Amino acid sequence: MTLPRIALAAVAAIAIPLAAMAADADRSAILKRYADLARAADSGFAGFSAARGETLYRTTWAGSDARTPSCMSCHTSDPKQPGRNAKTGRPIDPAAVSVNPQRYTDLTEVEKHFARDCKSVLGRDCTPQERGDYLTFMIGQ
Amino acid sequence: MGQFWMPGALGLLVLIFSTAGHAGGKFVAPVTDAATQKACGECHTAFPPGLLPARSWAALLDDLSDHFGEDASLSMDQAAHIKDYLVTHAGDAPGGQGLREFMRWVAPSGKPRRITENPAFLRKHDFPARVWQAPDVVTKSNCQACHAGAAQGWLDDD
Repeated sequence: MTLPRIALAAVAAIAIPLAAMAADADRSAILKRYADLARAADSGFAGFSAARGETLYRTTWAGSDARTPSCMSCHTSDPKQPGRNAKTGRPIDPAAVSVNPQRYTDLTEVEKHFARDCKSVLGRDCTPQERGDYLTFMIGQ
Repeated sequence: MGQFWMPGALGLLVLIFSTAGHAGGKFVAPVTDAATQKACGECHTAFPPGLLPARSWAALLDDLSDHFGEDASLSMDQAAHIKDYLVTHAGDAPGGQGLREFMRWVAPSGKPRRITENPAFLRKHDFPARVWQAPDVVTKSNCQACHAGAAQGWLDDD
């Protein structure tokens, strides 16, 4: 290894984990915000659950648009796989954080997609509890 | 762009020769604005602005809460920026790169919403139902399903 390559490897060895840590911190901040909102809505709030998030993901809600009865309509039964927008055909990057580490790091983006997709799948807004459960499920995937 | 004015077999012949430069490809100026590309492109093809007149883009951007049945609302700033970009690059924008072949079908005060209903589009996409029903296609507006270079403006004859 030449010196520049060692330097590059060193930079990568530091920068890649740092980026991952930054993404984790961003996700934690978003989860904390949802936890605060959930607690404000229900004093009995007892944290988020990946299992409940998975149920939310796999439930056939059929709440609104016939093309999107479930999260799986676009994101498939395996969130680690790429999906496809059931309305437009556009490919969608995997929803699972393990294969898509930049997911859920921008609150504005996360809120935009919950607002649109909950309306389209459930036919209503998702509660802060549901948003946190969903994210907890995807963070573990 | 003169070839698009000629109808029928002669027009087709000219089209074949005029597009030979890029593997039968046709270049339609794509979206070059990053914010527009992101906001439109995260749900569907970021359609080339030259395929609709300015008044169509303005109407679409003013009505994002009912965007073909979807609530595609953006912040006011974002919507205003994207509207400005699409209107200034629209098919009928002065000095623009609009596609006359598409624009000539648009009625003088017409405000079409769907590019896929333009007779110019339909003429080029006269396929049997099984083509449209292929699992990767989903809708006629999914350009990339068949045109791999659509995002870069290449709408070749795949």
